Amino acid sequence: MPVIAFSSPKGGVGKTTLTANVAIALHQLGWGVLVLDFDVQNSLRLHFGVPLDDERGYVAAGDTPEDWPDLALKTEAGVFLLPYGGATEDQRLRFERHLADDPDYLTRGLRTVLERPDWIVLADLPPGPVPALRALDRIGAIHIAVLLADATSLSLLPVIERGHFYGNKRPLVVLNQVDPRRQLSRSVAEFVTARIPEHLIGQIYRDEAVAEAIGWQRSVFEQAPASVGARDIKRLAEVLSARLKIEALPPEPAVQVGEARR
Amino acid sequence: MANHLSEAGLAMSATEDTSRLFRAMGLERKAGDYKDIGPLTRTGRIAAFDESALPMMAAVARSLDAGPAEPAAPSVPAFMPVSAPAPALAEVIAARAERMSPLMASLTPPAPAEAEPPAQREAAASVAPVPVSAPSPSPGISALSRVFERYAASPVEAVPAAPAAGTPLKPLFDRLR
Repeated sequence: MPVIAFSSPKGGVGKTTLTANVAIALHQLGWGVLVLDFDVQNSLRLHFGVPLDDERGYVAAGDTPEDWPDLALKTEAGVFLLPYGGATEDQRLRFERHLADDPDYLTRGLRTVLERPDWIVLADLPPGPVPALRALDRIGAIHIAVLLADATSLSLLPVIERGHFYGNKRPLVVLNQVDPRRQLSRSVAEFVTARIPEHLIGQIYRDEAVAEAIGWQRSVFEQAPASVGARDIKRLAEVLSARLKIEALPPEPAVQVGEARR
Repeated sequence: MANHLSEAGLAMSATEDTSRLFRAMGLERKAGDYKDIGPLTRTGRIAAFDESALPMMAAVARSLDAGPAEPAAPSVPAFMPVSAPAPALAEVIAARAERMSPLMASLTPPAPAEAEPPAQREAAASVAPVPVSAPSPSPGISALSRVFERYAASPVEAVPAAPAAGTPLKPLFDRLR
């Protein structure tokens, strides 16, 4: 079971949109997928058509992680979703204390999924250095830092590379909303590509179809399947899938010469 | 008269702006036709944006080249320990809520909706159209653990039905179309 966490030092970079659409793309590639919303904004559910006034969620339901599997919503896209829910401030603080102080908290809640190698957990984190980052570290999450192709995101690159935000485990990086028509965006994308080629796993072109899809409460694949945004997100999911197959799934049993002869 | 002057001033301003715009875009008809727009044009920073001159990029490159200045340490703050007293914020919010005007009180989020009791879900299932492949037509909630149990029993068995996708936003967009 791989766990992938979408996070960023700054907000408004499209983490939630990316999490939702990558989750759907990974499911279309054959993975079982559970998406988990760590953000009190509780907006991940909106990408999956959950009604605005439906405030069910695992944080809002209390702090018994063993109950989380029973709170998962099966979405039309086939992805399972654990919304944050309409949690109170008290519930949010209690949840974050558990994340920070209880090393087994996430394992207890996700055990059912973590035991399955053909399932992926995708986590959508709020911006900044939040307790969920370290809690996800403890269950071996792969971090994906989402950055925009702009000067502010660029300025955060040294912070990420020096480990101030993610620790010693360097995150993979996705550059979101790259606009090749704009010189600055293009230059930043070229710069990041040149500086961290081994960590940069995807560039998502700026596409209004991606932004509009949330208004319709559906994925970009449903909203505009032929769009550039859909293409790039699908490509990112394929890259992740290929990487996860190598890391997570048990290797195919090698055919021994002797066995083949038998 | 005052109006006349201000209109003339506006016209002049618009002409100058147009001149600058045309000049900046390299569309002037001949030399001297438009006013000089100053050192910005002469440096060519409007006509040709030079990314190598972007100070931010140079600063980031220097910073990356310098490498880690100190041992890498995650900057996640030590959150309040479990033993710490419960945050007073919730109490403050509760106290404020008591003093809220009715209008403000109506804006406070309602308590999380409880899931329908299983009996109600069963009842709903008896009237709702049930997809052939969905053995449990619960409205949204689907026990993941039970799904896995079913996977284990029969790998081809389908999972429960999807939640209703109708939302307040969709009708809104339909009307705007």
